[in-house]
Amino acid sequence: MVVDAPVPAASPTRSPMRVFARRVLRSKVNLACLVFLGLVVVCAVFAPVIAPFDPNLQHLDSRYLPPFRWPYVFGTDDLGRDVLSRALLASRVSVIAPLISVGVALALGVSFGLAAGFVGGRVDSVLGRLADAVNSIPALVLALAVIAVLGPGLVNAMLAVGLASAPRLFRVVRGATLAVREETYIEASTVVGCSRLRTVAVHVLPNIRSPLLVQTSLLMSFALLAEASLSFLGLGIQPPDPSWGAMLRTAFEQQFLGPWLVVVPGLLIMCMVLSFNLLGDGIRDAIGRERGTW
Amino acid sequence: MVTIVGRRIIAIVPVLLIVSFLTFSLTYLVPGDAASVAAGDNASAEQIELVRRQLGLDRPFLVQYASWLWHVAQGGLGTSLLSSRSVLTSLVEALPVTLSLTLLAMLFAVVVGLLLGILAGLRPGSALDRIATTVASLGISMPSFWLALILVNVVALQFGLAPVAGYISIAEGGLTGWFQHLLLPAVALGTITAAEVTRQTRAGVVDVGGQDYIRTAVAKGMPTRVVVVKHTLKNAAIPVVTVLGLQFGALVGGAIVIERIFGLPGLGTLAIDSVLNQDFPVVQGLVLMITLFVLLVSFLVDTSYLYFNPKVRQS
Repeated sequence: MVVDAPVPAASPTRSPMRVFARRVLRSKVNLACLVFLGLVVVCAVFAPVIAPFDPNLQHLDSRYLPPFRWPYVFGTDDLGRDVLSRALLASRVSVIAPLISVGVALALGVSFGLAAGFVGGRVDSVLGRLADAVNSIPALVLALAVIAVLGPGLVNAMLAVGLASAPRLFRVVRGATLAVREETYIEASTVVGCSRLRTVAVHVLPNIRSPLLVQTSLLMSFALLAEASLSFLGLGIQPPDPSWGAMLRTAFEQQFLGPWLVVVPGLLIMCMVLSFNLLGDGIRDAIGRERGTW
Repeated sequence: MVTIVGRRIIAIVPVLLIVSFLTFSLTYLVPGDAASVAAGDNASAEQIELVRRQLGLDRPFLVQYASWLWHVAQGGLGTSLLSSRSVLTSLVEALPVTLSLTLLAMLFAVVVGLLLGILAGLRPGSALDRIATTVASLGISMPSFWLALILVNVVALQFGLAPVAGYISIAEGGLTGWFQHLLLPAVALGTITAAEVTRQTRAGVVDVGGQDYIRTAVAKGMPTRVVVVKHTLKNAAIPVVTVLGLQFGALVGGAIVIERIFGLPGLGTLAIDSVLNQDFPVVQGLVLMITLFVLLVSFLVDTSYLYFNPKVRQS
């Protein structure tokens, strides 16, 4: 017969994740940023349902309408397409594009950074030099070179941006790993016979997640700006698909006939970049209170 | 001190070598066979082989890289596939435009950033400080090309206070013509950097302001102006200079988009044209030249620490 042992109830508020989340959410600025980003994601998911018009439908009898002309709340562009509907659909690109490049940057930066920081020695110096070299090419220039090879397109552009931002992540991960490597629990893990891979995955990685989170947030804002720049130049997303950067390209081409077209996409880019930046700073501050500065 | 500077210069060499290797490898990643493209559509297998041998494409990869590097080191960057002109000539023609734009943007960023940063940092928590900090946060998040579009719209098109587009060199239009055509682009490009400099300067001034030597300087009756310039600023300068150095690469990247908006015939315009037409010799030349400049700037930043911080000089 099994008797239930009196298990001490684990207090749910004590879990480190919860403490961290509570600390981040204590700031109203962080909360506002998360709400805005959540709103963008909701728009991205439900864009076809919310949008009042088909984003690519051309109302040729009502071109260049300024904002607030019912039923076109944000006006229409040079082909009479509804700006609001296009901005809503474009939020999909603004969510997916940064995820692609940050994904690439995380895959490269974290794996190489862990290797360089944990193994050290020659691996460290070779990887470090490589990161220095890639880092000395301005990100947008490197992206252009990669696009020259792979051809224009959203995915190619974002892969290139991810590659270009990997060195930044590499440095942060390497630095944090170097600090963690000296901790006693790493030594203990090695002594009890854990493989290097297990030690890194189970003991190092969770302990460097805070600086990683800060950098991820800042890289998201960088990737969004890069997507907007490349799509503006016609090297990212291809017409007729909308992105906020591509909408600014239309606004640039039509600046004499529709000067107001520049407002909505630009404001949206700025708010989203601002949210990622403030959130990054906010997380850094929250961690700073936790364990001093790093 | 000479050895420190010398060591920094030597450290640049391996980085440049890796960058040149990456740049050279780029063309090998292009799908398709370069020899059959060069030989034309109707070339027979023998003709393609002949072209391959003529272009030296049958040699091992590393041998090709070494011979390419040898040419590059002598300034031979090849000829453009698009215009059949020497790549070096195109680069040298476009360089003054981009350098003018980037340096003016930096100048704008330093002047505005230092001013706002000092004003905010001297009285932390004041209304002025809060305004400056908010403006800086917004400035960092604003896409520079969006600001450029707004400036063109309002300043150039609505009020006619500046030319909408185009570039005039100092030789053609004198200093005023050159400045007028670059003012809006430089402001648009420099705003993000200005915001970064503001934040760094403010943080530095607040930090240094609490130090004992500042209190001593004030106590012994030194005028505020002298305290700020000689003591506070010189000590707050290192992070600011670091930010400027780090921002240089971003400025060159941003210049690509800004040049397109204002129709400036600089490296950015050259870059977009060559990327769209897969003009690889030009792309390679651009990457090498821009990287060289970035490394040069970071070297200058490192050297400037020697001036700002005597401790570095002694180590």
